[in-house]
Amino acid sequence: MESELNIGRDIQMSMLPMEFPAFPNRAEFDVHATLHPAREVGGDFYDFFLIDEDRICFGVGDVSGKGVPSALFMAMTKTLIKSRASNDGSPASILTHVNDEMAANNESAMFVTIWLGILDLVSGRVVYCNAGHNPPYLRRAHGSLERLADRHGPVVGAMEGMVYGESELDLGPGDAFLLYTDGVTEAMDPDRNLYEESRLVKSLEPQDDGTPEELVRVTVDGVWEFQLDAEQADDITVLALEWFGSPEGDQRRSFAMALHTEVSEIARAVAAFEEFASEYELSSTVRRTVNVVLDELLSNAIAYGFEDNEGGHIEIEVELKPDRLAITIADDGKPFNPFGAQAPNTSLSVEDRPIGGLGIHLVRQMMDEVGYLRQTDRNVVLLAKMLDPTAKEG
Amino acid sequence: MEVAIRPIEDATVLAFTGSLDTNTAPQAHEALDAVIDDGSHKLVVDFSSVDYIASSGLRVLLATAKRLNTTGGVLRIFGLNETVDEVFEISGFHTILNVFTTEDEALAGL
Repeated sequence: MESELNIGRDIQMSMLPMEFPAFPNRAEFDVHATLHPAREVGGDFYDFFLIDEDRICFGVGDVSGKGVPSALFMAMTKTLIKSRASNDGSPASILTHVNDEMAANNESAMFVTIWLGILDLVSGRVVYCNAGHNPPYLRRAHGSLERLADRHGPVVGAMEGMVYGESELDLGPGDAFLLYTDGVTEAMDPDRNLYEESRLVKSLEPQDDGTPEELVRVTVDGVWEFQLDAEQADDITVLALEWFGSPEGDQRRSFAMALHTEVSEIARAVAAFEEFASEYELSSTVRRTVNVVLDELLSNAIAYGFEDNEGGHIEIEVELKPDRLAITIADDGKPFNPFGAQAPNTSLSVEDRPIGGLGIHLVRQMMDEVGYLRQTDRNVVLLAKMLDPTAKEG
Repeated sequence: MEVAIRPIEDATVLAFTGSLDTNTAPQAHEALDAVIDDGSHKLVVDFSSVDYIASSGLRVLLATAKRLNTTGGVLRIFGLNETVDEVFEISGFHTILNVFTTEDEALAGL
């Protein structure tokens, strides 16, 4: 029995990032976390990792049950999340995929509650998904404490086919997240009183400008002072992440728009892009190229993605980054990867040339990067055009 | 998208202005068909005021070229800007359509 407890704990603890400060060369944020396992490990976990230069994925989870099976379930969930997050920027989509994987072949009917967020370190925008987990707190820079109560789906791993949602919010410089598991709020004192959220809030309130390390410490200290010599019943996990803002953040050059699935909307999108191109003095080559690409992809999505063009939605976002123009086109039509087909045979004569596939071929050739992702119920096309720093419109 | 049509000897020059894309391709197609219906089989399309062309525009040119082929007619194009040229290059349209740089070159020998 004893060695099994150790095995469980070893599995759990070996998977957690434990070096702090975790990103000493990143001035835009700070993160701190701790996990105090119960005697019989409860399958809690926390994780944080950079997806790319500008985004960090972070979260906590709590697996049902105890012991080695929970630790193994935790290990698998955590690994799947990290793997999926490497090229899926939507927490809802990540958890939708992870849920399907974990729910398949899950004979022991285990499940895990998860709160997962992705923070854009440049803009301060956070996208997050709460899958049955207790709501985290957001400590704003001016000291107020917000409880993020929204939920986006059931616990993960219970049933296949669940589609998760997500929410967005914008951080200001100095805002911090406090994530925790119910080992905190359900800690008991010797008289079997529960710690509850009210005490957690009380311990956090004075910390109006506490660092992540301080936030974690007061949370845990609050539990220890309450618990006294009662046995710790469940894993206690706390993660705090503070964003300090970014010098480039104020200079985000982008626009976004929502379109109906009508051909006439293409002209509206092109007109909006032309204004953007003019404002940021993009070269005519880049402007024309993007116009072609927008026409191809939007007409494709409109023509093929929706039955009878019934009220579908398309969202486009264009962002001018230092070295490239990044375009995202998302539609809620039928699953379709425009880049999945073969290139047309462009050596055929006029008579032999079939008509079709040409538009996508143009997009592939004219953009420097093209990608496709199915995120929950949307098709997402990602494009990038590298910019020549010397070519600007006069 | 505007179309200006002028006859030059027994050829017809059509000058398009704007873009040839999903929204404007049908209009371009109508204009080209009308010229052929009227009896002209030597068509020269002036691209000097065309900002960009998308695949729907290419399809119109292809359909027109195919139609003219059946009667021994000719389709010539001139005045492509850099991006239109790139689109022709990628799609291989340089090898199947007659592309010239200037109006004089396009009209020579018609």
